[in-house]
Amino acid sequence: VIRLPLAEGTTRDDVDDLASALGLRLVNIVPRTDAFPAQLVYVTNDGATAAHLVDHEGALTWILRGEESDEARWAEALRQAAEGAS
Amino acid sequence: VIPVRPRLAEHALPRRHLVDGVEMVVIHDARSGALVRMDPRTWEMIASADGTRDVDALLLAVSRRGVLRRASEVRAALAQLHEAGLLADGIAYAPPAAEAPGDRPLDVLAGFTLTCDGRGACCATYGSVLFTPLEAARARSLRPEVLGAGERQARGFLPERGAGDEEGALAVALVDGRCAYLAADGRCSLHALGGAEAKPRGCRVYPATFVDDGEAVRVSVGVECACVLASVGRAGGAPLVPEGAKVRADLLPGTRVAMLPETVAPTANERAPRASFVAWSRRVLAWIDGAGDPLAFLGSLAAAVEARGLDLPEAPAAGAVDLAAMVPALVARAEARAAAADGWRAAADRSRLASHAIVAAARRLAQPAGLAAALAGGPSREDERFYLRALLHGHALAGEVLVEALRERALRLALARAMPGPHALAEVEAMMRGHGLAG
Repeated sequence: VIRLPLAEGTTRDDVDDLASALGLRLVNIVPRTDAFPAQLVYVTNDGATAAHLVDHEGALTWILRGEESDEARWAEALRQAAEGAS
Repeated sequence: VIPVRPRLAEHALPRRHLVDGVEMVVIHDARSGALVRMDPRTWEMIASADGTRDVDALLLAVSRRGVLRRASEVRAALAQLHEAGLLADGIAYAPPAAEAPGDRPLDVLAGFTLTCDGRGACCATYGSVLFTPLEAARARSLRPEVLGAGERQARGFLPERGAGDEEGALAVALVDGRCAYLAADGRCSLHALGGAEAKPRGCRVYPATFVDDGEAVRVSVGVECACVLASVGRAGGAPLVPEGAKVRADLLPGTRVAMLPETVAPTANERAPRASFVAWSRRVLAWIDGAGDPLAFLGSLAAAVEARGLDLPEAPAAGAVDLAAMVPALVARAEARAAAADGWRAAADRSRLASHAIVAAARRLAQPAGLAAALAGGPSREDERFYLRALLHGHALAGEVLVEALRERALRLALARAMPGPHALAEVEAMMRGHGLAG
């Protein structure tokens, strides 16, 4: 599992644009509960990696779950895309 | 706050248009005549809002279809539709429509057969050309290349109203206001390839109207096509019902037969049982030929109904018709409609051209001399007498306040008289009903 915090001030539109650019497909929206933060769940376009965007009281973090090499590859792609956007 | 489980309301009529080569979806408000335009991709995001999903679930449905851009765009589009009064909450429930009994006799408008000129004017006039799902499937199979609808139904067809359902009627996409299956020569390409059976039922029975009034199914015509008026007094055209048809069950399967309401409104403050209305229409039909100027007759009939209700023992005496007070509102409606059409319809769009012709005629009526000329009538008004017969035989005024409807039709006659062309009345009627110009 790779955790990738997003820069402060990242908006939902920024996330949507990034997901759209990378071909991530939104597959679930999990509302916040007392036990868990809110999440948007994406899968990568090859279906191999899940990308959870966790919203913990406004702090956004990508959590990538998949094969180790895929996680690293997608983490890098997300990092570059976020830097490109900013 | 947008609805929890949004869907397009029943009075929202989504239509796909290709306008000068640019694709768009226009959502018409059948109640107000207003419209909301959106690009096809935004429509694709909205199309999944069918009342079964909250917004998050809608986003997932849109994502599954691969058309999600920004969640904020979906919310903004929903907010725009909601602000326009075009959204409802939750699934729709439509009670099953009452149907006329199969043995109900047909009462067909006498002496009329239709000679179609084959130029496709009617196929380029209306905002809605409806297909059943089977008819749409047949059309897509016959001409799969049209708008790419052979591969994807939604490229060529959208629900008739609201979010639609799998079994509901579908409205074909329009290209510069013309049915997408209308060929350049004005002929129906479905007819050309597959015969008359390949056309949707609505086109095959057009311009016939069917109303069950509790005694019979009145079969009449909508006077909305020049061919109808050109057919008056001509023999040898197509009959309004299949040869030998005597009862409701003999009509083309699936023919929509409207039900006359249990009561009608002679005036705004009065209701009358439909049997009284049916008897009234029968009496008035008998008066038309000897009634003189049809416009004046409508005016005096309205005055008589206002004074005495439906119980008119004899034809009302001819009297003056005061339309002047109605003209300014007509001008305003016509100008608004033309301006709206200018905003998005193609320059060659037939309904846009007609809306401008109507503005010009309405402005003529706004001049005292223009109105006086229209009221003066002309040498032959057989087409107008036919129009009255078709209206009354078809119970076409039953859904309105009768007195107002009679005056409104008098105004339409005046408007048509102020327009050029021998059959302007058909254009006026089509624009009034089909494009929301009616008062």
